[in-house]
Amino acid sequence: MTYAGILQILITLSVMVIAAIPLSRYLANVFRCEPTFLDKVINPVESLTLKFLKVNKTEETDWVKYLKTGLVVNFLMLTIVYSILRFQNFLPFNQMHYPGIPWALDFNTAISFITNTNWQNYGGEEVLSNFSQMALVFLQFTSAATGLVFAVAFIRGIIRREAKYVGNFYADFIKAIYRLFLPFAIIFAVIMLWQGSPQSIFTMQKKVVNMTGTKQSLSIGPVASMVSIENLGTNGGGFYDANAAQPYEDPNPLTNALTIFMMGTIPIALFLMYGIMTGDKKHAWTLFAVAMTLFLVCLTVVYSQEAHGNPFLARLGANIQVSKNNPGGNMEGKQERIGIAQTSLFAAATTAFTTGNVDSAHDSFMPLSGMILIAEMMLNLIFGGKGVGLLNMLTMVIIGVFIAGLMVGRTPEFLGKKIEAKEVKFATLAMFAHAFIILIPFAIAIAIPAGLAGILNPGPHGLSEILYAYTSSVANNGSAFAGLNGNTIFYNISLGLAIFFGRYIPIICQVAIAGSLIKKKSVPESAGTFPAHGPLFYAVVMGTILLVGALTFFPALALGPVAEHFAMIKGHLFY
Amino acid sequence: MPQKSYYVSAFSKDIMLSAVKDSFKKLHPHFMVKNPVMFVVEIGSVITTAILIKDLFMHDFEYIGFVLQITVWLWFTVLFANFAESISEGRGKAQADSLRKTKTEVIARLYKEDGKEEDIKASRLRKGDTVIAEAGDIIPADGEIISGIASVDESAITGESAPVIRESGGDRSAVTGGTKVLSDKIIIRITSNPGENFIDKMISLVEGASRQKTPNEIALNILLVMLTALFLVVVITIEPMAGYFHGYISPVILVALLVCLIPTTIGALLSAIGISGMDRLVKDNVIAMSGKAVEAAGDVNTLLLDKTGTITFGNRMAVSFIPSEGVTVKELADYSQLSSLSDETPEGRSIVTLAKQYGFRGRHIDEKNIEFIPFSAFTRMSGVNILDKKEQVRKGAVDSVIKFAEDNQGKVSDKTKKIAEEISKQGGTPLAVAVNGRMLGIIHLKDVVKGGIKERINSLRKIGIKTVMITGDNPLTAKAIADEAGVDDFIAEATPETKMALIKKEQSLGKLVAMTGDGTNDAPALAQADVGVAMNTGTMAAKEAGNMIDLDSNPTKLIEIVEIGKQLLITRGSLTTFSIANDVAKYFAIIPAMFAPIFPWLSPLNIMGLSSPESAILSAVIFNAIIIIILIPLALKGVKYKPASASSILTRNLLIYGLGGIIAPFIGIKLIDMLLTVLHLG
Repeated sequence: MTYAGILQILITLSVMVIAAIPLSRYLANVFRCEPTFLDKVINPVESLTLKFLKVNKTEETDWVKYLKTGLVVNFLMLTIVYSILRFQNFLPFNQMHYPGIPWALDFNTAISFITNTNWQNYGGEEVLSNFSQMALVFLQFTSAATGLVFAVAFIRGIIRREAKYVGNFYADFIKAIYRLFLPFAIIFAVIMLWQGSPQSIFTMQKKVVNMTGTKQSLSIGPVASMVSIENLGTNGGGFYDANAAQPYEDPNPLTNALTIFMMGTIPIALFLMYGIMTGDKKHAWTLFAVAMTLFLVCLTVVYSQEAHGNPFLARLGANIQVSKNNPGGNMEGKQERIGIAQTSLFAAATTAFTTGNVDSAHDSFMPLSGMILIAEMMLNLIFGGKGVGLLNMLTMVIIGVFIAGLMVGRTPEFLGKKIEAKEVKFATLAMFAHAFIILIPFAIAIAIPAGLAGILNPGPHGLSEILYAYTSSVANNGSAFAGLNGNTIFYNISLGLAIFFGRYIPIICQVAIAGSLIKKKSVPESAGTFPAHGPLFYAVVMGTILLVGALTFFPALALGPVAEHFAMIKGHLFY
Repeated sequence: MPQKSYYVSAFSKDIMLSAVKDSFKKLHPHFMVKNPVMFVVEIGSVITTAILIKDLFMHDFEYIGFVLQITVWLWFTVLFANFAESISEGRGKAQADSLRKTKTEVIARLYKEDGKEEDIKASRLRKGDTVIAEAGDIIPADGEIISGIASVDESAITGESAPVIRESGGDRSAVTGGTKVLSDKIIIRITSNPGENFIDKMISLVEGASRQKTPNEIALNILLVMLTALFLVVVITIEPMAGYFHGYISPVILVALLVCLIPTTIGALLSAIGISGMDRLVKDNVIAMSGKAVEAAGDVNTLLLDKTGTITFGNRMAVSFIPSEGVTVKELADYSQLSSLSDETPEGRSIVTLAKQYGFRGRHIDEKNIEFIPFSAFTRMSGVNILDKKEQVRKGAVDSVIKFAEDNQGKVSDKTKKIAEEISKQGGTPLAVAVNGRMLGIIHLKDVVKGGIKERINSLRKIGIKTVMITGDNPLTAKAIADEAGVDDFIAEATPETKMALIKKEQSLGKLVAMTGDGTNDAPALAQADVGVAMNTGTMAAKEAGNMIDLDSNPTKLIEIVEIGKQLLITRGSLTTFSIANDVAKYFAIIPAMFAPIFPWLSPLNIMGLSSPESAILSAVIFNAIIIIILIPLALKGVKYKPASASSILTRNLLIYGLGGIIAPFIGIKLIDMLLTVLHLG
């Protein structure tokens, strides 16, 4: 670890948190229907859209209708995009005459993008037309908005008392897109364009003369716009197969930091927005502290492991010490121009914020770094993806408050609402579903030939590759450990299903919690209720996350990355 | 007060013996399914037993010692859980038996319309029948007195040996089956059918026969079932992972891991905690109609406390003598006592007592020389005439006594009048004392607040409970008492309607309200309150409306009830936390051990340094079983509870049961491992 590296990391993180504060105020105003500075421009467009959709934005619905509408809209978009990809050979902007995407791969891809996962079994620029890429960009907007509005519905469930209606799905959905994702995506697309990312629809190839003097064709397309929303929406699906490891998506170290900024700022702002909307900022900052602690611990492990490097290589005579001309540490799968510090931050961030965009090969990380990346996705609440990170955090909070609340001698209360059987049922079901959908398909994959066929590396690393794939899918992250060949019928279907259920089952449970909470009276806080902020609450939430949420994955992690780590120390190699 | 309680110690020999028997009976799947966590353990035990038998017959003796030990300890785990439940139930049963003894078959004297009597068995009595009971008779069933008055010995129900007066009409007309008439004759209309009498209800309640799961218990059960399912998933994935490395893990080890991970500690003790919570109430002579009510007591935000009986002793007492000019305190005390000698009211007695402090005790009175003037509502005075001295001593309402003095050509100073006014303003009652025309001074009578009540109200405030004093007094008096007792609020000149309105108002704010009551007019409010404690001396209507009955009829009990409710929840939460926190150490014991043959380099995870894989797994299983037995007394007694703020209670319990729950098994498992190594069992 170098001072410059630590400084780079601290600056990037500080800027994110500072920017998140005003953004959280803006978002709270948007969803409380209070005036914002963008009203003049957006109000007319928004009301026109709502008129076109015949939606009365003041007409709110109960949670069931809200959820149903959201799911139906998602399913509709899913079928549209599935068809576009399947029949892209009949559609415009396919100058390279790419054929339609095979059904299983299409199934996987369409589900992956509608769920904000962006797991990419397809070959990026090598198989998709510009039109198909833009169809995916469309889903990158809507999937981010979907997660966000469900979180907003949940927050309303907490703040409204003895009510029924959680909001109007269409109105919230359009607000999220028009007032958050579109304007910011435009700004950042322009910045990426300026920094060197290409943007085109009509051409898919660019002829260049490379360093050796030979002519070469490079794929181009709507890259800048995709890079901007893939990160702002924590989608992570890049234009290129290599994502941010392709210089067009991540032209320089500054854009690398900017990419991290785009991924993380909105999820952090959502935590703070939650505080503003509930009127309990201290509570939200405590949850922020929990998530930030977890993030910093994870980041520290990754960075120190990567900076330390592989003792095997040292034994073989490689120089892994940092010096003027040598970055030292573990540089396998990393870009020289980005360096270890920024790569570690990128990897820790992309798994924490469940973006899934990668600027390095996670497969090549040190075993314990790999474990941390998987663990971040297993938790899926270190700020997390759009809305769902907050939802997952609140699910854990409900479980924690229930157990700890009993210890105070009262029926547990959370921000004035009683936590009873229904809330416990849905919160634990969401947690159970998350673990079940990761572990069971994983167990099947390592037990059958179709699953084992995709593995690149033998030994515990191969196990980690499969574990990573299912964790990334269920957490709707979408990054891959690489190594694993996922484009087989087995993986396309099983990962597709894992993504699908991993996304919607927890969301259904969480919105159901909101539906139950919203009906309740609010019990006034007294000396008998323990405060939902401060060190004690921090300890309760952290303890729940680690003991109830994380312990489930201990055996799988022990046999994958941990075993690999100890084998490495003992000097054991797997062939 | 001689107290008899139905409380029986859980650890008596009889209960222990029958609990051991019951633990085996409860192995029947029919009982076990009710407790999903322990049912999973039972299924696991059956699986390992089957493997043991198979190994035995296949002459596969390599690991048979290990399999045998695991199997034995798994069965112990189930048995220990059953034992915990049986022992708590056993105590309830013993209590019920002691109640049942009072329920002997009696002959009722059925009173027919034609005025004739017929002797029938009490069990044949139906609602609406009329019976006669005379001195020496046992009242055959619950009922209401329709004519007559009698003193009744209710010790069978309440444990209180002093007889109580029961009479027709009003709030004292209810009689309970099984109690004994001591004097006079009453005619009773029966109000309950056989088997539905109060004593029957009480028996079934303490026996736990009608026990239903409480809302928090249901929620906790869901959590435990989901955690069990979660760890089942974890264990299912282990075999494929071992297979991936071309290894194999015995189902015995998988079962052992599963049992260690699922929350068996709390799963085993959960019902014992609930049952013993009810028992603790019985110990305090309170009968709760449902567990839900006990739980609600822990949640109460607002306590309505009747002033009389709860906050004050209920009677005004003399606290000081304030003489007029030219009169000594001693003189005033002397005459005050004289005037009160025949006054049998509590106020009068308190004056006599207070005067004793001035040396007037053992007074000799020549009865021929003295004439008692009883209190009358017309004169509003009482007193004595001392014939030989021609002294007329009067004590009573200030204006009446002033008039008496002035009628006897006396003069009353403004200062004395002012003192009287001042006492009234402070919420006290002034009584004036005069001899003929001479005004001696004022006796200050006061509603005396019970000792220690202020501290209790303070501790309630600390745990976030608001106290509201209810009184029929005027606002002035009420405020004085409220200030002295330190209650948060008070309602003066209260009627049943204002009580009801207050309860509804608090409830609309999301608060839970508890109150006590005894009269028929309290019944609607008792029913409306979330926790309504009816006094056993109260009417049938009040008892039916409330969800708890206090056999001691002590309204202060409400505070204890709240504490018991809280303790019940705290115990559940603490043991759940403990149970979950235990998993960390068990993982570190079992995971390296189970993968030792496949992955020898995972040994650094064996941070406890356990001697062998077999002894590591065995130690974890043994710890898991033994901890249940160790925690049974805690489950029955409840976690220690002291009123304090939520934060400090939580901090304490998190440290003990959370942090302690992480550390304790590391130590416990290591110790068991060392023991197994010494005994060559590992």
